[in-house]
Amino acid sequence: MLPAAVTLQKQGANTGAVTSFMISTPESGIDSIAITYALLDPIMTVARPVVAFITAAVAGVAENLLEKRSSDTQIHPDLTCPVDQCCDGVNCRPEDHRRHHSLAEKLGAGVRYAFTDFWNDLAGWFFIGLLAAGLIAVLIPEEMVKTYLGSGLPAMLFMLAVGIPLYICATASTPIAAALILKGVSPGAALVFLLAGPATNVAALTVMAGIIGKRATVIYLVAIAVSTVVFGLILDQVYSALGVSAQAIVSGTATEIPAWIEVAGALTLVLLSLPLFFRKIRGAMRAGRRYFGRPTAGRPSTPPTSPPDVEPVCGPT
Amino acid sequence: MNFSIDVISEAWLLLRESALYILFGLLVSGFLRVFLNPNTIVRHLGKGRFKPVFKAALLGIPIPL
Repeated sequence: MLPAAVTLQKQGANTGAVTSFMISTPESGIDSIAITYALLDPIMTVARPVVAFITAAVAGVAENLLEKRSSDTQIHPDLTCPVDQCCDGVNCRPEDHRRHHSLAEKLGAGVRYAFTDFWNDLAGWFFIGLLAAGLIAVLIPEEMVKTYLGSGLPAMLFMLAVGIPLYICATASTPIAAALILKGVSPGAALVFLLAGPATNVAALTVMAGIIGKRATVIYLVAIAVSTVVFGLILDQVYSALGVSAQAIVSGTATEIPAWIEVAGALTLVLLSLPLFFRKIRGAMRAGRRYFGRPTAGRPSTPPTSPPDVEPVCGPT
Repeated sequence: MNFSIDVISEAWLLLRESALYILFGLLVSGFLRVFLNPNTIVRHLGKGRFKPVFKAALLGIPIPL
């Protein structure tokens, strides 16, 4: 998220626009909307992107209202070809640039991005999210949740206190939210976690202060805190007005998808992740060897030629 | 031992429930990346004080990062 924000600002977008992009991008994405539909319920599936949009817009507008200087910087978009970087699009007419690749080539590149770049960035966090959800399901007693986190402002504030420093991406936070709702956490409090978790974390906030300034970062935080809590409270009202229990919907397996297709999908995701895990294990082993200072005997020491671990876009950068 | 089996079976259930949706989400995100590059978003924002804010918020919604 942060690299994209930096390029956005370099290209001439104003602070408000950068802020709003930095909120709505991590808080919601096609992938997290899809997984929300799978694990939570339709109301949540709609509420999540809508509240993300409102939060982003509120923060961006506040930013630009409180900003003194007018930003009339020239806009220089980066037009590099997204298919294979064949051309930077600068000395190339847009019509020609658009026709460098056939539709099939573009779709192919899209599939490649989906199952290599995107999944590589997501997979580690996603499996951590699944395990965390499993731990919550097994470890946390329902009574405790009912007593302390059932509903109301205290539950929201608790989720905020957990979500703001924690780094968790939107997709990976969803199974955790599902586990929390199953234990009796109110959907509004879960929404606070789903929005505040991905939008902020300790590492990103420090970097962000460098990009958009300290004051702008404070506005960013306050906007997120206020708007997620307010909408969390509203969402709880919506559920009680409609007489729906989020807990009941989430616990029901409403999908009519045959079991074998579900299992095939799950195995596909696991298979797609194997290369990444092997690379991580190899990286860890190499680091271990370096740490214990044992030169590989008999072989000339080879410089590390493998590419460094893929930087998680979905991680603190 | 029982404990870790319980945790993993809970995680596996969630994985089964969500895998197809994730694959679909990834695929759409991949196409989006080709047709709407986050780096070129600024082209669509335009100028002004507030219009770019709303457009950036809207464009950020589908983009996974």
